[in-house]
Amino acid sequence: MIREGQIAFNSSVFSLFDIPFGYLSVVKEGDKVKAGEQLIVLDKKSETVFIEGFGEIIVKKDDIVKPGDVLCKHKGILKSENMKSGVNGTVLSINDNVIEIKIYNAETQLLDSQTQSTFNSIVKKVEQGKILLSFSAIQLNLLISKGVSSIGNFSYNSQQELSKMAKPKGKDIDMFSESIIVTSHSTIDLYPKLSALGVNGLIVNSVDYEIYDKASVLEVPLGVISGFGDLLEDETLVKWFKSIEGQKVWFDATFNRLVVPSDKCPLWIKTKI
Amino acid sequence: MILPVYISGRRVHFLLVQDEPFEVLSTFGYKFPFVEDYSNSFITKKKLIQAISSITNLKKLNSDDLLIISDTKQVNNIDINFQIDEVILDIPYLFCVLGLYSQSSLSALSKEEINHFMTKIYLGDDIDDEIRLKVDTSKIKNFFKENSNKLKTVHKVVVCNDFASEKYKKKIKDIFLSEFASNVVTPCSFGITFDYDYKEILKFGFLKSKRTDIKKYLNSSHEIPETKVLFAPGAIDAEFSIIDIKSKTKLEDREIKINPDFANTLEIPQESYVKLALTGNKMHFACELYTGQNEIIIYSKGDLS
Repeated sequence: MIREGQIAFNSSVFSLFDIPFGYLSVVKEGDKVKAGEQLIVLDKKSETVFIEGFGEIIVKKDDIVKPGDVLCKHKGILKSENMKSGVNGTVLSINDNVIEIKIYNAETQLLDSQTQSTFNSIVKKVEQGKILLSFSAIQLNLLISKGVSSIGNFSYNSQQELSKMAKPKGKDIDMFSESIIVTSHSTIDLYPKLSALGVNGLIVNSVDYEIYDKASVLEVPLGVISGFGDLLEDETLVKWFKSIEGQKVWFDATFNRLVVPSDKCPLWIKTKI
Repeated sequence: MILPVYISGRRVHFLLVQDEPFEVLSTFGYKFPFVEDYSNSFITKKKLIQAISSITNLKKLNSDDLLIISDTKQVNNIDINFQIDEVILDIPYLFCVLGLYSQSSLSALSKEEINHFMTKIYLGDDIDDEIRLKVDTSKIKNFFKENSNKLKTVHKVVVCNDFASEKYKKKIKDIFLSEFASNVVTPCSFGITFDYDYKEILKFGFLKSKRTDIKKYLNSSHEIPETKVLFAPGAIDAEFSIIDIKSKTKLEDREIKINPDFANTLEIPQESYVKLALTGNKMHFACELYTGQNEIIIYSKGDLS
């Protein structure tokens, strides 16, 4: 049974986007950003090094280099000489033999998805290396959760389906990779098995307290909807889960909630936050 | 004005006290409701002040007026003035604090009971009496294991517990006294107070914050425990005389057979004390007992040393 206020339409879910060192925000307060839209770019003004090269310059402008990458080479009569990069960075310019490299840390070599907005959002604030984003969503409040918050594609599976999957094969691995899995009940081996398959989160309707308590959660978050034991799932919730299959969702383990971006409040959800 | 406030989880108890001369004017209890949205569920000092103001009608309360006592160092963002252990550290009473549930409380429960118990804990719901009683009974047993030596030097015990029905309070009293009797090996009397408002802890917390000399306070205040209990292992017969405190004249002589399975209650008039003689197979014991209450409880359960 859904608890009063357990599921609600939240017109302002806030999420904080950290701007990594060496990056700049390209959005400002009040901007509307779409899912996949760029929020940050490399800061061209950050520290640069000038390297005097020789012979043939191998790298080109805008190349990304890491320590050990060859920047230039010289073929001599007796032996060849290479000059290697000692830093991580981007080649900003090449003038004559001088290579200008903008330095950044390995940690700041971000994937595209790490520089973009995950959901359609409004930029509420940009300050002190953070971008505060707001979006509307359906919020399912969990009884408890642990682990690190994550984003993934929603997937509802019955416990029977998951327990049948004793030896997952390639197709299963693809299916679960980067998913937020929701199911009715967890057995002792479910969480480690799904974690190994690369899921981004597991939310169960119920689980024995002992299993929940002893689950060693590091990255992949684990959440509980109804409580401890073997409790019945709410049919309305299951119907809703099936309707959002494949949607990108946010398992916010800090505030014990599953956040499903939505522009409108469905009729069956009465309570508003 | 200083209000001593006890907070644990979503449960709050607080006292209105008069400073000089010290007197507890009223006790209050309140349970913050469970909030589904976790980000709004934190109990802040502002929420605490609002709750206390609306319950007491005290206006213009501010955070400096609250003396916060808890079982943990911090409750959400509320800094604690005293932890329970700090309050009771040098009080010459023994405190059996029930109602605080932790992992160690689970050992007495089955898997199904643990599931029920922990779900209720997280939801802030009342725990079923049957399960709560198992947990509290286990805590009582542990209390006597840990404090058997201290019982030789201390003669007042305070049993703290949280919100409970009258039926539950009676059950806890019976279990506590029965367990107590099982741990006593020589005749002795104790003053026992069952405190469901955390009043004793709040009171001593307040006195400590005022740097009051607790021993001096206890000597001058003549506090009367809720229950006076005489533990007399092996006693079978009791003969007693009720004597008027002021005139020292005997009011009545009585004899009773002591039932080893129950608490045997001697009802006595106010402003009187009893001269008591107990006999059993291997024991004879006589004493004078004073109590501010109308009754003395005799327990004969246990093994005589």
